Amino acid sequence: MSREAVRVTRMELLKLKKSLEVAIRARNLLEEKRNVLAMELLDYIKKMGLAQEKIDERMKKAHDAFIEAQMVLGKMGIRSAIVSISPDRFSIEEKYRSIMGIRIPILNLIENKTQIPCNFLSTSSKLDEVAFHMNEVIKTTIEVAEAQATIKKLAEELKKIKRRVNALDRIIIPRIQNRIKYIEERLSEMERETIFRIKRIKYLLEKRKITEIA
Amino acid sequence: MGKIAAIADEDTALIFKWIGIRNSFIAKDIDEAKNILMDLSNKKEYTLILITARIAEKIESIINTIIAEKEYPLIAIIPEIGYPVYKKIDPLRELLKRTIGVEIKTSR
Repeated sequence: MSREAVRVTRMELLKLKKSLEVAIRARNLLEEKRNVLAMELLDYIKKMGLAQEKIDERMKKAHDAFIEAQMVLGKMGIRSAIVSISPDRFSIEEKYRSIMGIRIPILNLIENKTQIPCNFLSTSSKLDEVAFHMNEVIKTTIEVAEAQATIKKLAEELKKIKRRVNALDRIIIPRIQNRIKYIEERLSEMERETIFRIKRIKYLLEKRKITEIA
Repeated sequence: MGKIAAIADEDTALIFKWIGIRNSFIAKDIDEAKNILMDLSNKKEYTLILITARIAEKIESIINTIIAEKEYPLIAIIPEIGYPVYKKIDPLRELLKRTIGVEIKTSR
């Protein structure tokens, strides 16, 4: 809307002042929301880092147990000990929760309690250790995945908020302020014109009165 | 209810299959890894794909694209059973840089 399209009335001025108030309040609320989400984001980044460390640690233990099992059973021995493929023992249940109106996924690992198949004649306790550590790795990986999904959602929301705050700060608020300034200037100019007109009429009337008397 | 899949080297895939991740795929080269990942990411039944670090390092750009564009599947990078020490890749770094405008490391 150009300046020319602005109606120069007191009603319009009041309306614009109200809009400015609302825009400033909206900007402040968005900034508050941005701060809360940024804190949540940092929190999840920290959680993800810790879970990743846990995975690395477990994987190292699984690796050590695997090497030991390999030393005891040999590479072919391990393959014959792991006789068959398990049925799918894991599935993920997806639920959602809300952080300030943002839908955040919660992942639950559903573990089917069936036994891991094993050839008892040619196995080693070290292989059980590998299975135990790998199970833990999968459990912790769910935490990483959940944190990753949350971080992604929060980052997308932060981007939207940033765009909205920028639009309010750089376009909407300055535009309303400019309109208010324009209307105020025009109104005071009109007021000055009216005062001048009244004074002029008063002067002319007085002049006419004096001539009539004379 | 979503499934878990894995793309890994031979030993890790074998262990995964053994402990109960039936959809564990062995990727022998980059092209195979790319094809498996694209195929898995287009199927709606998978919620999580585990990829071992040495493979992930080679197909980092595809992983970044899937993470940025799709809600699911989620991708988690884990070390290989034979190589517990690995070069860390950070699939969220680019996304965070682009969305927030600040570089934040998510892996330690």
